[in-house]
Amino acid sequence: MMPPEPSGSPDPSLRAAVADIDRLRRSRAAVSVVSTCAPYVAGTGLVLALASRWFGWSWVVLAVWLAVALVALVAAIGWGRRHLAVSDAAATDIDTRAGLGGELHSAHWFAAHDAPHATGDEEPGRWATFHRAKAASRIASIDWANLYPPVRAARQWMASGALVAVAVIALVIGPRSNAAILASQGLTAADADMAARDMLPEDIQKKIDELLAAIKSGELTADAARLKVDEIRALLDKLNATTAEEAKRQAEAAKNAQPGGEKPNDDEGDKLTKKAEELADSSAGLPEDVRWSIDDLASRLANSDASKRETNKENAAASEKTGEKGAGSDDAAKAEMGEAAGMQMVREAASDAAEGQMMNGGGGAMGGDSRPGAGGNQGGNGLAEMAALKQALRQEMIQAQADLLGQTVDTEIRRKTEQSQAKVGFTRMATPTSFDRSRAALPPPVPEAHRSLLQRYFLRRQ
Amino acid sequence: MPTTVEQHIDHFQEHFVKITKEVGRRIVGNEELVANTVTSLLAGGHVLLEGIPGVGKTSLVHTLADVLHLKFSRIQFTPDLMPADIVGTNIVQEHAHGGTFFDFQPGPIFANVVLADEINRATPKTQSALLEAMQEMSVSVGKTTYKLEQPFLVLATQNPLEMEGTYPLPEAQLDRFFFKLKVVYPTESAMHLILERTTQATTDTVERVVNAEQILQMRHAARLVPIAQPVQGYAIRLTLGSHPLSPYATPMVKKYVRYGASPRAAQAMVLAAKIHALTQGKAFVSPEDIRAIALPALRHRLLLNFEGEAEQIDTDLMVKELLAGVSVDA
Repeated sequence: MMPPEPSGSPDPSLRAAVADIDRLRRSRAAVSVVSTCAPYVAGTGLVLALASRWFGWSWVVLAVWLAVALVALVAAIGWGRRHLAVSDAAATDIDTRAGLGGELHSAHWFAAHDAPHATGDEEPGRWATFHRAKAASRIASIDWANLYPPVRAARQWMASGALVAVAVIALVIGPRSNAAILASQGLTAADADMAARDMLPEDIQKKIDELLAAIKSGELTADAARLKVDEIRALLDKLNATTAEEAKRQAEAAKNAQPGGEKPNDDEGDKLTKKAEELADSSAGLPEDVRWSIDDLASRLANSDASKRETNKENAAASEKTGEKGAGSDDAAKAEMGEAAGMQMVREAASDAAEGQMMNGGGGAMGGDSRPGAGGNQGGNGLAEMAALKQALRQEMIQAQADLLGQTVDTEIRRKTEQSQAKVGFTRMATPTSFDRSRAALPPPVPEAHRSLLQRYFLRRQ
Repeated sequence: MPTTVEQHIDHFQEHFVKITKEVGRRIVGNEELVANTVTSLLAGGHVLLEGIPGVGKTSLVHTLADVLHLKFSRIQFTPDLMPADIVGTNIVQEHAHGGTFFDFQPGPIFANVVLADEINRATPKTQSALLEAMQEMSVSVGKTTYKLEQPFLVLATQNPLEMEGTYPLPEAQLDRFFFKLKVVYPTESAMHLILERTTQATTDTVERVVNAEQILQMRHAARLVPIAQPVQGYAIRLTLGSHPLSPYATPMVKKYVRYGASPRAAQAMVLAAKIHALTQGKAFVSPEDIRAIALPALRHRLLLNFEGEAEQIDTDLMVKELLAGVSVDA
C-alpha cells in the first residue's frame, strides 16, 4: 500500500518515483543485514544442536530455533521492502548516493509542497515546477538497479547452509553426556549410582558416603576433607593390592607346582646392596643429615640381606637333615609374608607420588628399617622396590644439591644467618653552633663612583 | 530580456562569469574573494574587506566599479572626517534675482559603488553616518531624505594590524555588512603575475561588461530561486547554533561566544546560497550552497566573550566547527 499523498501535492509522480527508489534501497539494505546475520544465526543453531545432543534435549528445540530464525530473517527482508513515506533523511541519502548534489532532496520536498508564497503561473511557482521537472528527468536517467545492486552474499549463504547441515548432523552423531546416554536407555542417575555401589565393599562405600555428607553439610574443613580423601584412597589402593596379591599368590602356587620351577636369585639382592653402597660413597660432600640417612639406608639394606641369607641357609640345612619343616621353613614363610607386606607399603607410599617415594627410599634417619621385609631377598619384586629407592635417592641428592646452592627457603635462611655479615652505618651530626656576632664581618664599603647612583635609585623609588 | 526560467539561469550565469573574469584580468588570484564580492553586490549587500596593506583591497573595488559601469566614489576615512563629509550638506546659495536659499550638495555616498577606505580610522559618529545609507539605502539631511541610486554597494576596508588610533566598528554596524571577506596574501605564482602586470609599460584595461539595469535583473532572478524548507532549516540551525545557549551550539561556541549571529545572518546565507546556486546553473538551493557561503556570512557576526577575546579566538574556526557539527537533516 502506498502512503496517501499529502493534500495538494503538486507532483505525485515524482514522489512515487522517489518512494520506489527508497523501497529498493531499504530492501537491499535489509538483505545485506540478513545475509550478514544468517551465519551467526546458523552458528547459534549448531551450538544449540550440540547442546541438545549433549544434554539429551529433544530435536524439537533445534527445529523450533531454526524455524523461528528463518521466519525472523524473512520478516526482516519483508519489513525492509514495505511501503513507507520517504523522509527527508532518506531523500538526502538517495541524493548523496546518486551524486545529485541535493537536487533530488530539494525536488522531493517541492513535490509535496508548493514554493512558498507562490502558486500556479507566478514566477516562484514556475521556478519550482522547472526544478521538479528537471529533477524528475535526472532521476529517470539514472540506473537505480545498478546504483543499488543486488546483495552478493553467496559466501554467507553457503556458510549458513553448511552450518545448518552440520547442526543437523551433530544432532544425530554428536557426543553425549552419561546422563543423556542413561536417559536414552531409560535409566536414571540413581540406577547408575546403585550399580556403582554394588562394585565397592560396604565399609569403603560407607566412608565415602559419610565424607560426601560431611562435605555437603560443611562440617569438614578443607584439610580434614583432604585427609579423609587420602584415607579412602589408601583403602582403595589396599583393596587393589589385596586383589593383586591374591592373583600373584595363585600364580606363585602354579609356578611351584611345576617340577622345574626357578628359585629366587640371590645375586639380584647383592647387586642392589652394592648399588646402595655406591650411592652412599658418592654422597660425600652432601649435607651431614642427608649423608647419614643414605649411609644408614645402605647399611640396613646390607645387614638385612646378609642375615636373611644366613637364616635361609640354616633352615634349608635343618630341613634336609630332619626331613621336616622347622624354624627355617617358618622364617622363609615369614620372609615371604614380609615381601608381600613390603609390596603393600610400596603401593601405599606410591599413592602419594614423590613424598611416598622418599619414605620408601629411607629418606629420613628414622625411616630406614621400619618396614617389614624391606631389603630382603625378594627376587623380581625387590627389583621394582629398589628402582623406586633409586629414584627416591636421586631426588634426595638433587634436593641436597639444591640445598648447597641455597635454593631451598629453609636452607637459605640458615645460610644467611651463618654467612652473611651485617653492616651498621653511623651518621654523625654536628650540634648547631650559636651565631657569634663578634665574628661577623662588615659589608664591603660602597665604591665612591657608585654612591651617587645608588642614592638616586633609592630616592626615585621613594 | 530572459523570459523562461532556463533563460534566467543562463543569463545570470553568463553575466556572473563575465564580471568575475573581467575583474580577474586586473586582480590576480583571490577568485573566491572576487566571486563573493560580486555575490554581495547581486544580493544587495555590503562588504567589509579586511587585509594587510598592499594586498589589493582598493584595487579590487576600483576594478569592480570599472567593470560594472557604475558610478564610483571613494571616501578615505580619517579621525577628523565628519558625517557631512560623507552624506553631503546644505549650503546657502544666492538666487540670480536676489535672495538666498539652501541647496543640498550631495556627498560621496551618492554613488553606486562607494569605497570606504580604512573605515575603522574614522570616529564612531562618522562611521554611524554610513548606517542609514547602508541599511535604508537613503540619506537624511535636515528634514529631507534622499534616496540613493540603485544598485548601491558599500565596500569598506580595514587593516587588522594597525589598531592604534582606530575605532573598531560596533556590532550593530558590523551586522549591516552582508559579507566580511579576508583578503589573503598572494601566492608565489600570483606574485609573478602581479609583477608582470604592474611593472610594464602597458597596463591592463578592463571592459564594462554589465550595467545597472542588468545587475538589477540579476538581483531579481536570484530572489526567485526556490529553496526547500529542509535546506532553509539548515541555514537556520547554523544561525541558531552560533548562540551559546542553543541546542545546536558547538563546544567552541559555548565556551567563547557571548552573542551569536542575528537573523540577518540567516537572510544573508539564504540569499547568497541562491546566488551561489545560480552561478552553478541550478534552479534550487542545496545544503552545499549554504556551506559554500556560510563562512563570510557568519564570521563577523559572532561576538566573543572575555575568554574568547583574551585567547584571540578566530571566529573562522568556530564557523567551521559549526559546519562540521550541525547536521543537514533536522
